[in-house]
Amino acid sequence: MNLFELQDLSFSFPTASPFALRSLDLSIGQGELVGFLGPNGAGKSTLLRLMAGLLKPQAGRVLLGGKPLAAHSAKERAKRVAFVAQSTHFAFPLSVWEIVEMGRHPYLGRFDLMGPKDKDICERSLKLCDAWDFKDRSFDELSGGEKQRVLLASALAQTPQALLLDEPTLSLDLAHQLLLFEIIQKLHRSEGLTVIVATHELNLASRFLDRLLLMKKGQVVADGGPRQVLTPANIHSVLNVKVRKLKDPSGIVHFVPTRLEAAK
Amino acid sequence: MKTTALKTQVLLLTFFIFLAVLAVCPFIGPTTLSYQKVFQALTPDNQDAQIFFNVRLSRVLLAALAGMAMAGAGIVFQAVLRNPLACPFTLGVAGGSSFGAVVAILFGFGTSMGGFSLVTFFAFGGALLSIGLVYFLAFILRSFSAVTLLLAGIAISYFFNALVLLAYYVADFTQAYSMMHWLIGSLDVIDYGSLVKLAVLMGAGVLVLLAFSRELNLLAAGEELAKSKGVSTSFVVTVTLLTASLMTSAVVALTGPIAFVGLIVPHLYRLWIGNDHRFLLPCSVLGGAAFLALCDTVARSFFGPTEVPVGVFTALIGVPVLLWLLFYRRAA
Repeated sequence: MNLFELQDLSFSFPTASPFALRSLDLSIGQGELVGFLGPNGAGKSTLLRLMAGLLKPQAGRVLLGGKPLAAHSAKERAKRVAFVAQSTHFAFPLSVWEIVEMGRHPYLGRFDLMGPKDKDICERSLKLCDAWDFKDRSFDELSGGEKQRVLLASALAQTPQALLLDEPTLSLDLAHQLLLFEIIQKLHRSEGLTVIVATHELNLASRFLDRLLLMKKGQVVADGGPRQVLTPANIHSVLNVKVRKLKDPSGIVHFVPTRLEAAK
Repeated sequence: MKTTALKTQVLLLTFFIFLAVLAVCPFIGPTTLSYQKVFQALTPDNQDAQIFFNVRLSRVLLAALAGMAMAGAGIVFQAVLRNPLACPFTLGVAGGSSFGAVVAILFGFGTSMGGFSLVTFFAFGGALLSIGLVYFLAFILRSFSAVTLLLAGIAISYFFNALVLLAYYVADFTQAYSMMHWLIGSLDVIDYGSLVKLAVLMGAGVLVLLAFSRELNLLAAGEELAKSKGVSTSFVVTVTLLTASLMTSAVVALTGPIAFVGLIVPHLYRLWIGNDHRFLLPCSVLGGAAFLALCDTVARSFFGPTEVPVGVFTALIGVPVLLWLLFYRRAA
């Protein structure tokens, strides 16, 4: 069964006239590793938020495990789907551990305290995200890469079936981008998680993700494996950039932008 | 790292300070009381017992309840609005209640109902009116976001403050004095019946807020993050803000808008134990109670022969404490 089923989904922001997403139909199965690619404003982040239940569609619906997302309670939804935003700012400083503990909220009753099982899950999440060493530090003191790993660990502590990541490598240096994608791949493989990543990183997406959806103006223009989707012609038509596709001796594909040119 | 052990110790310490303040403060005042006499039979000629039970204890308890409400509400407003400068009066409670009180004073409504003066009733009504207007504006705008509530609260506050100034301008000398006295914020003697009613309301309010303390952690981190972790944000925001506003309204109606308690106490605890609301909220509630009871004791005892209204005292010490917090945080 598909984990996500999007049926005739449309969404527009109240202050913007064109639709951010238009009549989108899409299925994503359990255990898939998917990337949403496309230029700014293509609707990638909006689509992730609709799938996470953070936005409500104007038309159409999102089914989660065959049941409309709106029919799930907030806690039920959070047990199955975890979302990590591009950037998170905490108005009041919190420690890394306190942030990861938040991931257990859907499982705790109103006056429940964290039990040993919850603590074990938090510890495991931090270790899986390579963030255990700084569990006692304040989130504000961490580097961008460390912060993203902590937020990923907090999402993982929800023990979800699906992990939705909105441009997780934004503002990270090359080493941290690579590290984050390696962690994402590890989580997918070891935990059997469905992972959906909105990203601009063509090279990382092509190397680490199994299925890519190329988006433009709120619609999916290509859907399939990296080889099938990331063709120079598709990239040119969606991103208005001419690219050269290179393969290194280890077989990894790289896209090198050569010039900016609007597609006809 | 603020460990759970540290947070628990601070909570216990605060609880003992709270009990100590309640036990000691009624003995402090311009008249020295004899410990033995206080606990003898409460007869009309036992002056020490009369002062202790009928004047000071009820006032200390009122101060504690007021401090409890202000500090608890301060925490809630700061978390929900994600603004360290938010205080119990951010949604216009002070402006609304002040307006209600000055109207009652202006029209000479001196009679009482159910143990409370009509000024108190009008102040409570004014506070509810301001909260209602803020929520009405948010409803019209179809947005209960922190920014909408904050801006609506500020607008409503300014509106009521303008009306208060107008009432003050047209009032005669005696009325103007009464208005000023009320607006400064002060504590008075209160009968035990009213105190019990207030205590029940405050107790229920604090319990509701405590029940939502984990959600407050998540809301303080942002509405989207809270939603993604399974918080029904609209429900939690509505319940916590309304509870905090009602608690503040009930207290302000009796005491006037006492400044800074809802700001200083939460921030002192934030520095001490961090920002985990499961500990921050109970600590601030008990700490706020002890803080205001102590401030009122100092304000009424050490500036003889006159009494300094506690609102003036908290404002006077509030500014240096806030500045100290600012410098301390910068240094840290």
